[in-house]
Amino acid sequence: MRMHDVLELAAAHEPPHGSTVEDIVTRGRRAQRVRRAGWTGAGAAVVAVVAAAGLTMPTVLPGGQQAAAGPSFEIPDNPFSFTFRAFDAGRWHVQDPIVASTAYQIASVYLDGRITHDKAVPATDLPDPVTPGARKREETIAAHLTLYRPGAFDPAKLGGAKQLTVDGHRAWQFTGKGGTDDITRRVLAWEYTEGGWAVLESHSNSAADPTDADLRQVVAGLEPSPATAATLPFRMGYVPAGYQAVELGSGALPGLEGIATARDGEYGGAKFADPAPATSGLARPFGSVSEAELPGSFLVVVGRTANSNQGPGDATIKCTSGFCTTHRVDGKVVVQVASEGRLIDAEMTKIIEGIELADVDQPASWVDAATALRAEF
Amino acid sequence: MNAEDEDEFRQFVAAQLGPLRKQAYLTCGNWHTAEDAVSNALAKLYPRWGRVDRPDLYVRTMVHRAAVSEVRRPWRRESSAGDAMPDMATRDTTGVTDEQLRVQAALKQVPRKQRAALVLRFYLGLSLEETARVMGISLGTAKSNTARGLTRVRELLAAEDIDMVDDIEELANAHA
Repeated sequence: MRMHDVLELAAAHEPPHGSTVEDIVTRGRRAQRVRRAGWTGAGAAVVAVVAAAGLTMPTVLPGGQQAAAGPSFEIPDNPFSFTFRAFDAGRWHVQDPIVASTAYQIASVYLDGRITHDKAVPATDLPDPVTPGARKREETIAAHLTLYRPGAFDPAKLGGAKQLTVDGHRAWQFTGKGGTDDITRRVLAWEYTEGGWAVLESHSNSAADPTDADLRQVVAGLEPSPATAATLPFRMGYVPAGYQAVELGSGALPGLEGIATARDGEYGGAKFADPAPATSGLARPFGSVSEAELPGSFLVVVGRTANSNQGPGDATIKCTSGFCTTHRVDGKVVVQVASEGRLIDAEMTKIIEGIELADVDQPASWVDAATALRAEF
Repeated sequence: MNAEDEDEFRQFVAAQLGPLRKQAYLTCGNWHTAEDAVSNALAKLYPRWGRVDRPDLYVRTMVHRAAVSEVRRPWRRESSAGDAMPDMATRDTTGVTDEQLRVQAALKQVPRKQRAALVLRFYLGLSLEETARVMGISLGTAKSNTARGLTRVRELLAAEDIDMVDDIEELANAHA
């Protein structure tokens, strides 16, 4: 068998095509119209929608240079801390932050009237991907609020954003295309404390919902809470020399992956890197969504075996394709170290062997994250 | 786009749809993800039609990025790969042969960049330069990914008692 035959065999029994040539031409025409429109009509639409709904608009002034206004936020020395809590603002429901890093903390954000797919559902409940247009019937949004530590975020890197003032805070706002042509990305960044920026980002499959005005409602709702150290359901016994903990997920996977799967019920995870990424001049969280995009990093996750296809299994450590996996707590908990092949299997095995679990179902028993990750601040 | 250009685009899509889906599937291991990646990439190509020097490479690059982006997410990667490439070869009940399951299981164990290089080189028949361009890597890295991937597949299939032809031309292609 030749290599071509191997690949042909692997891809045999292809299911029927979901998209026809005409479907793609139709989508292409729509994409062209969107590009031509250049999203310039959005501003007028915002005013109309807000006026019709009788909502109270936050104070918005163009091109403001005001210093940060509002309540004072604590900036703890230990960055693996949370300094705000869940709150509601209009249709928005900001959750407790679950991701922390050396530069920011992140919370999931939900919007009434739109679905956020951050919880696994049975395949039978998903729209049929081979039925053209099936996914269009869902009104979806993926949104998160990131609070950067002072000096960590550089709003000038928000290309194409306009500067304004919202409720007395310096702010930048951006609207553009998301990952696909049917997704609209909106970003509102405001200075919530001196040199510290909060960033609300949404990816919606509607260009009209949420509006820029909707995003601004969150500004007034953000208030400080006493700093609380993040906790984790595990403790690292071994970290390879040179690596530092840079990001964690408490009750979630670290990074935006943790936000994307926030309601999956994972227990926790952490990202280590050598060298550690810069904690200033950022325009987005480390490595975007995937550990593969953070150079020199490896990932530790402690999750539910039921959510992973690396199971069921026992305490045997299995390594393949750049990650090693084992199971604990009668197989119910999966522990994984993934390095995209940067670490050899023996090193990943040593890391897994050194991981000590707390009672994953008792968050009160979880370990202070800085201690758990052998971090010094 | 005028009617003539749109006809050309239609012909291009009709010819490329199947191979692109297979490229995406072999990279990410999930037909649903592959479907999304290809239809999104081709729709994005429409407004650029006539302004891209190599539309075939342009769209293969977009499909590669979409498929790799999906497969890189560690937790989702496992779930999505598991939809179509089982961890263990199981008895055929749906017309899928045991040999196909064993080949899929072997490919799943090949690091994804190496697997992507093999798909581009040996399935789509791209040159080494074109493979490097689509993957966004250097020529040397494309060469090493191809050679290592080929070696790995041969080892894994040998363990499954599936012999690959010791094709001198194929080996030369991996290194040239």
